[in-house]
Amino acid sequence: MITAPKKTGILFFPAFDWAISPDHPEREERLLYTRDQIFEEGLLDIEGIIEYPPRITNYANLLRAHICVPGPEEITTESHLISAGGCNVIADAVLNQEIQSGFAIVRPPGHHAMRITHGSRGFCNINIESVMVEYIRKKYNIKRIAIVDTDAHHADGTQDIYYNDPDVLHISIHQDGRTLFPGTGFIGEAGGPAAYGTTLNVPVPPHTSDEGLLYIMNNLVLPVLNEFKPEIVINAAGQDNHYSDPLTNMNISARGYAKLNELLKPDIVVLEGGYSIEGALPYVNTGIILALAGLDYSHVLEPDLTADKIKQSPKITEDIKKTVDQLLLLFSNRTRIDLNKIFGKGEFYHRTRRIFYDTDNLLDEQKEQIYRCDNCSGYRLVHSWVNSFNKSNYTTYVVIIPRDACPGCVKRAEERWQEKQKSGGYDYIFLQDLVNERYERVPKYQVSLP
Amino acid sequence: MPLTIGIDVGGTNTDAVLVSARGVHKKAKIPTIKDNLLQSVLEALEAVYDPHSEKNLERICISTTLTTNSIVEENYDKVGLLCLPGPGLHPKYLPFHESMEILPGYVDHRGRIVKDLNPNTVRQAVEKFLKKDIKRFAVVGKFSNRNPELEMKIHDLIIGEYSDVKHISLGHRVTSRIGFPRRIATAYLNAAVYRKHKEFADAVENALGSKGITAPVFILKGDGGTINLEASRRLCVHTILSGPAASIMGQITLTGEHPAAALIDIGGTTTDIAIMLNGSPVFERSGAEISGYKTSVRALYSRSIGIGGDSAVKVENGVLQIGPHREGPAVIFGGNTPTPTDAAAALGKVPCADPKVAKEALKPLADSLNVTIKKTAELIIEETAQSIANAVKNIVVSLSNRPVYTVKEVLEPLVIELQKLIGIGGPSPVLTPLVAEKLGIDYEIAPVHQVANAVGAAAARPTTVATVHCDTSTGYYSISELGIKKEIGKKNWNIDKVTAIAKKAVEKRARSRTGYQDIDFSREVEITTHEEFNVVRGFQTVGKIMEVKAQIKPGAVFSLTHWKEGEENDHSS
Repeated sequence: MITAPKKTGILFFPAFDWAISPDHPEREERLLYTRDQIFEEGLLDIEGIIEYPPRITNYANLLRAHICVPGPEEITTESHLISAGGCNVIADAVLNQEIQSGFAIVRPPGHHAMRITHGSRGFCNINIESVMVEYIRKKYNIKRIAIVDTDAHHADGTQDIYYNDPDVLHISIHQDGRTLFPGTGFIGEAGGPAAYGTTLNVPVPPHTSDEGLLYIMNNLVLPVLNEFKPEIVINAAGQDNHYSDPLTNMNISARGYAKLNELLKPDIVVLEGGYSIEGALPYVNTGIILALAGLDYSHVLEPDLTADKIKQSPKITEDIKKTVDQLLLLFSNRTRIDLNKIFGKGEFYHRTRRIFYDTDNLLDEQKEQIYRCDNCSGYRLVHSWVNSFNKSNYTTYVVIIPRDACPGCVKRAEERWQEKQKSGGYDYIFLQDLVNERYERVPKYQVSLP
Repeated sequence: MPLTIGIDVGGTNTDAVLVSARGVHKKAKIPTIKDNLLQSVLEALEAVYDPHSEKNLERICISTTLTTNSIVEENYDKVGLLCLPGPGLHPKYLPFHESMEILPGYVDHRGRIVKDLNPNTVRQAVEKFLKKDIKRFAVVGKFSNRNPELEMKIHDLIIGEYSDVKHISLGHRVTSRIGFPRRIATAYLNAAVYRKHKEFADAVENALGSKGITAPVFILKGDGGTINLEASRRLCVHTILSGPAASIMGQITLTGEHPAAALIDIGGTTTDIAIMLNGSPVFERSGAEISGYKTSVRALYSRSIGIGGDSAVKVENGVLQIGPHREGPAVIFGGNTPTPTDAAAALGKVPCADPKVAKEALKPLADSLNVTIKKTAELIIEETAQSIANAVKNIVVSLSNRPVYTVKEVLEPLVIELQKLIGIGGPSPVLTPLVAEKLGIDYEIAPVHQVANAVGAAAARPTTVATVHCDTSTGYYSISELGIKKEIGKKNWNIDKVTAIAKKAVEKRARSRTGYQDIDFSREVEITTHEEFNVVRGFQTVGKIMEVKAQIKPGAVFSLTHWKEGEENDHSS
């Protein structure tokens, strides 16, 4: 009987009784073949690979990462809460040192869910990595965390949640936003005024293969991590960068993905997207599990893969090298750069965004103000106007007190919160106070929050 | 009155009973002859066999340690292992990889043949083994449970071309379960113990024939069910771990079916714990483990802890230490180290034992603890019962915390609330009430514990499974255990149809076994897996994948719950 060199935890929650809709890519069948492959390979029988049962999380855990509009009950199902809870189970096992690393193979995914979330976009309602990150920070007194998102789509939700958080390094490697949903994730999106350089976007050309991805790992991700020195490394492991994925145009193989994890040595891996449910997921997940456990994955191979199929053109290699060089420069200059040139000289940094919810068919137009404080990352005020195709339109105002907020910012934010309650004019007014753990809404929440 | 003979070959003793629904008519206990289990079986049979009631003898059921011992002692034949692993886990991690020849050709997770066999590589591999004088083979392919064709082709090729080959175990026949490494271990061990078991079966058949006994013979399996002698030859690996199964079936026969109970068998060195839910014993989740090999053999869930009536009791650093070792019998029975049995005797709870001897034995412990002898005896019993109760609690927790794969199961988790403790074994009358008290539940002590295993073997009904995997978009269904793969064409099968096929298959398999014609299949057949997925390609539903597993669950064909020991019934009708 073999023993894995590295103790590895697996939480497998395929939600075999849940779908967005019967024919949707995010349906019951999605992890069926992955289960068949993992079980047939006997991976969960290997000594040192431990399977954990899932656990449902509560609304309070969501509200550290999100402002759910109108409320958590309306925009989540039990499956979302179990998917997020499953990640927390793995986090507990890693941080209690039961395992060296863990893999939450859960659905539905989460990385397109923004801090202010109105429903489902890109198949995501709740950002399962961020819910887990906030759970880890709360429970284990861990501050510095790195998330490396390798899904083919830009992790715009995770980026949004940690855009101005200097303690979370978020690196997203994805197919160029000019060619794929959600259309963002360019090099210029590098973090807010208090966290410039801790958001790194690596857009890669369509048809990028293992060669390109591993080049980015070796030449960008690993050196940056080495400098950032996170206490925890998370791989948001979307598998839609696979050459057989029906929704994207990337050329990653199962073995390439295993190699990536061997190099990255993440503490926690979370499944994100990936819709080549027969041709990719069974093999990629097998590869990741073996790599995490320190076992030989050289025999993992998709039945239809040939070397020619994923050969990367020299042009793509050149483009990737250029991108990596630019990002290395950006990262190494991040503390020296004149932030006023990027964020202006005003008291507040303003930005305006339009966020489209493809699944729920609504458009969120946001105006955001981030207070530029010398002592902390600054409180945030967000005005959101939602234009919904299915429901009536509504307006939301949100006051956010970040976890590192200084007393001055707490006070100023509290004043805005009181003012807005008096003046009204919005359908919903929210307070997300991460310092004092107050998560409130006017009108008051209908659900009871533990 | 139909009679059954039950025989349980244990490590020390071989027990036999002549039993009917009215009670135990004859019982016998003889020492097991280590190197001649056949002789043990025949002697035990002789002791309870009654030529006058031959016409009423309906069947003989044997629980033997033959295959178990053979595997544990690695006293079995070398096997040529032909594997079709395809891509995936590196073959060096597979069990018995040192006796493995890897062949090209494989099946994927949908049961599609991605790459066909190359007959020449099969021939080369077979000849390589034959040159080394290895004549027994196991053939196992990845996903052969989904599509057995490649394994069957190899089988036919070998049978057609190599007359030297003595036996071939096929992965899909020995188990339908998913799990390639377990299927390999199961098929390999099946082929490895095949000869020994066959010789045993042949010898039993001959011996009975020469005595003129015509009753059909059954062998107890690790899942608490029986299999007829003929079928047991091909599936001999399923007879491993029948000892714990016999004990569990004995307890069920003697105390009945319970909605939620823990079954404890307290022996000299160890206590075995099993769980019964909804009237059926709980199974091992993925299969039996033996000698470090994880197999797909269906087995009853049973956990052993190192505490029993003869556990050595010591005081270390002022703390009582009970077990996990046995250093001999209790002092009252001639041993040197005090045991829980001595503690019970000191409290006057062991009939026919001298409390004085027991008290004397406990004195040094009492001195170290600085309490009275009576108090020491009470502490030992208390502590022993507590350890067993803790083990039961832990088992309940670990069974409840099983992984689940649906939202429904997360929201409605399996809650095991034990209602009853069933105790068996020598120390059971003293310890069971205390363990039950600590668990806060009722208890019942099984009578005739000396031959309960033989009673269990006698009463166990035949069990069997059939797994139907149907994929309407590839247009096939398969029943691995029966080596069936059939086209369904364009027919629109639904889950009810698949369930009906599974039920029919399992009934057919069981009915072929004479000796159990009166079993009520409508009650005993249960569906253990029931899955249905829509296959969607390009936003279109193109078919369904359905899997239904039907089993005849383990249980007793008759119950002796109302029978009192001592009522030796007159069976000569």
